[in-house]
Amino acid sequence: MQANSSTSSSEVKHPSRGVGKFFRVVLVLLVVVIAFDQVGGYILHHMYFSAKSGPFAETTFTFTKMDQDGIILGSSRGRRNYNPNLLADSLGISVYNAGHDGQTIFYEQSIIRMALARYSPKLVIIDLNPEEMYYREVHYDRLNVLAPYFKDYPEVRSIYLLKGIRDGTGEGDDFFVKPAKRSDNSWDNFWFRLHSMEEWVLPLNAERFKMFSAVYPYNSTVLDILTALFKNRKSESGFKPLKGVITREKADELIRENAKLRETPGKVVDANKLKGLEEIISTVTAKGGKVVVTMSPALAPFGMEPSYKAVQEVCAKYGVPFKDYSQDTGYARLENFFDNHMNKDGANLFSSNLAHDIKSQFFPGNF
Amino acid sequence: MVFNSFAFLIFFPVVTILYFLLPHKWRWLHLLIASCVFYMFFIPVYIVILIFTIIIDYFAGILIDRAQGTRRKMWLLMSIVANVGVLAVFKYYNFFIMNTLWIANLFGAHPDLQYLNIILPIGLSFHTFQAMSYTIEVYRGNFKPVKDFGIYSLYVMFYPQLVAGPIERPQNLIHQFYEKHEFDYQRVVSGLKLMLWGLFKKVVIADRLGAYVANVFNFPHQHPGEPLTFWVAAWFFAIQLYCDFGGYSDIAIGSARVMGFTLMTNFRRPYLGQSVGEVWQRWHISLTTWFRDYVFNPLGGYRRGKWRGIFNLGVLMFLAGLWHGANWTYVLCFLVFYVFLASRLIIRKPLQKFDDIVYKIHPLFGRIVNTILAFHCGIFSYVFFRSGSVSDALYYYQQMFSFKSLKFYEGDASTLWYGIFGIIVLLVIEEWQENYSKDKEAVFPEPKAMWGKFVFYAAVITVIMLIGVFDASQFIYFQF
Repeated sequence: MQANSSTSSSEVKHPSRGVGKFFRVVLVLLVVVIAFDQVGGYILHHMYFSAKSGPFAETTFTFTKMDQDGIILGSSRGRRNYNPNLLADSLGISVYNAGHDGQTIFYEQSIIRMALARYSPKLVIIDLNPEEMYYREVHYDRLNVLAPYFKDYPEVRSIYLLKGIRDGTGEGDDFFVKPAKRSDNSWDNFWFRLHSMEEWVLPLNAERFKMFSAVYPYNSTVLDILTALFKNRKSESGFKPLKGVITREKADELIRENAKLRETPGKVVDANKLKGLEEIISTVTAKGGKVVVTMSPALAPFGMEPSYKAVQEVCAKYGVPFKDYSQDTGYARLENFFDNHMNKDGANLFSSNLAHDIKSQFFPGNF
Repeated sequence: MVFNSFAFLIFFPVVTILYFLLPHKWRWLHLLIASCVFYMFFIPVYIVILIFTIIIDYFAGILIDRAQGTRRKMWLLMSIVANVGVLAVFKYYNFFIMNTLWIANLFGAHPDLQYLNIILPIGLSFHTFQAMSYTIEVYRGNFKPVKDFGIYSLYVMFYPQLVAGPIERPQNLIHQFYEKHEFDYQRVVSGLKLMLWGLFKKVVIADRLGAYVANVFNFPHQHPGEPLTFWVAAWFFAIQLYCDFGGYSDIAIGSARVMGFTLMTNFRRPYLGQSVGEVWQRWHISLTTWFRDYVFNPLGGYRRGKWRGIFNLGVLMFLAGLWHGANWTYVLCFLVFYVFLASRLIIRKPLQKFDDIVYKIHPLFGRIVNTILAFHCGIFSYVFFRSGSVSDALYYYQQMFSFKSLKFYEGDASTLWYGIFGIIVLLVIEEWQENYSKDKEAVFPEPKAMWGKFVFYAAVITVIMLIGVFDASQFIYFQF
């Protein structure tokens, strides 16, 4: 009984029990977390940049060492559909395929910024798919591939920070605008026009703060960093051809799925992507390089809507050649494709034809 | 605002510190404003709907309490109609139109019915049910209506459980707003640990597995003849769903606990349940008990015999399915689960015999077998839950059992391996919590020494930063 009364009287005297202890513990924990973060970040940085093969080594090479005259930019379609060796032989210049699975114009913009800081490429081939210029949240998420380069390479910083404004929140940048989320003329947009409170209550770009961490830039890469130590898959030209031929059944399914995707409502052209495309074209041409924008062959037809027209308009604005091979039925045979990417034979056929077009149509007399 | 966002990382400490600094008499107002800000981080204008239901139910509570006889019922009915009406317009109107058009088309009619092009307000079903529990409890005489409009508003809007529960009862929550909560080191630390575990479940496990699950469930036709892929995606989805919603609940309960509030337990390690009934009792407890108290028991529960009980259970499961979403896939999900639950009641004796046999071999063996079987009953129903349409779900089932090859879609290999790592951690921690922890509120099996604790928690935070998915993704249950 006595013990109880003494406990309750101490509660009355010290209503806020343990505030000091709590803040001391938080402080110590913070110090230990920072120590873990810095040591972990240092080890991961070292392992990441010392990889000799694998996707990280290729990205690091593309960003920091690539010096070829010709550069092929693109997503997985760019990487699989263009054989740089055939283009090099035909055009008489060195060519590197800098395509990267799952990436979009933002990654390509980073490559060009980094490349132009070192040298002036003579030819840049930009492979786009006809729907590439639409806003898609996942394309912003995939900017995490730039995170390891954020601290050491200022060229990529503003592009990486787009990740933090992908959902329309956080501050923008002088160069970039916030992506539009919804198409006009819909009730959905009515609600969104009222704006989320987040934009004015907390106008922060979270990515800027996350980058204070030394470990965070390597988020989700640990396993790949470790496996890269044991792999030895090296591609001198960046080209990763696919082997095998798609079956009729899979092709039909792919065409059906693509048709479904084309009907996705609310697609809007992303102003950031258009600006990225414009920057690549304008900065390369300003340094005397040539740019070709292509859409490589596809088995399942893409949409031909505003995204496609937006690309056409940018090319026309800067006077650079634009050719859409995705509508060319000459390629649309199963034996040329692995899935919606070309297989090795298809890529070789297309690359030879492209080299011919570059020499004869796009830049006659230059190569 | 989502719990796994950078905004919440700022919001939570600011709100909590201010809460403890403010005099007690202003704390309710502080929490109410914070809750409004929290909700308006989504789509601000939808707070109007919340205010509408708050006003209706606040006055309904007072009127029910004052009235006698049939008038009490009338005021209750008015409150229920208002709440269900909001749900009907925002959640079920298009579903109703879709089904009406489908039936009309069967008879060759083509009525000119228009769909509403509106977004479902976040967490609508949660706060509507919480509001309804208030008027029902007042009607039953279990709870005296609150006179303070602000406190009632806070009961509906209390930010930790506003958008995805736990769906509270007035008896449990409202009195806590009147109590003065002092800073208590043990309680604050315990709440923070629960939040950390919830965050781990969400960003390390749920969101990671979600990437694989989405690739299979969103495009099932791209994986024909790969039964293993369909099984793995179904397993992963079961874990994803639990870690997503259970993680949310942990953060909700933990953040409330830090400020001194006790919210009801929402999940009790459901996948460690050894029967389908036990899984049901451990899953989304605040909703299942809501339906038990306000639907199942008033219908007579099991009191009127086994078959009537099974029928009542069917009604409960049908409504629970419909509560989740305006789509037949949710209803079918719960009906599949109902089949398992009802079977357990009908064929009790053979199942008891089966239990006797497996437990006789070895208690641990019996436990493992029963846990796996119960888990798979959940999986069969979740296929409907996650599939975009009934036809997709049927195709999914068909593929699960088309043992033609061992081909397996790996997806992004790191997704697979991080996901598996997360599942192992989940299993170890929950098994420890269930069977080895002496303190039932303990979250992690942490070292005893203070320095060991620092290292342990620093390691957990580092792992979250290293392999968590930080795309501020929404929680699955926000859509309900």
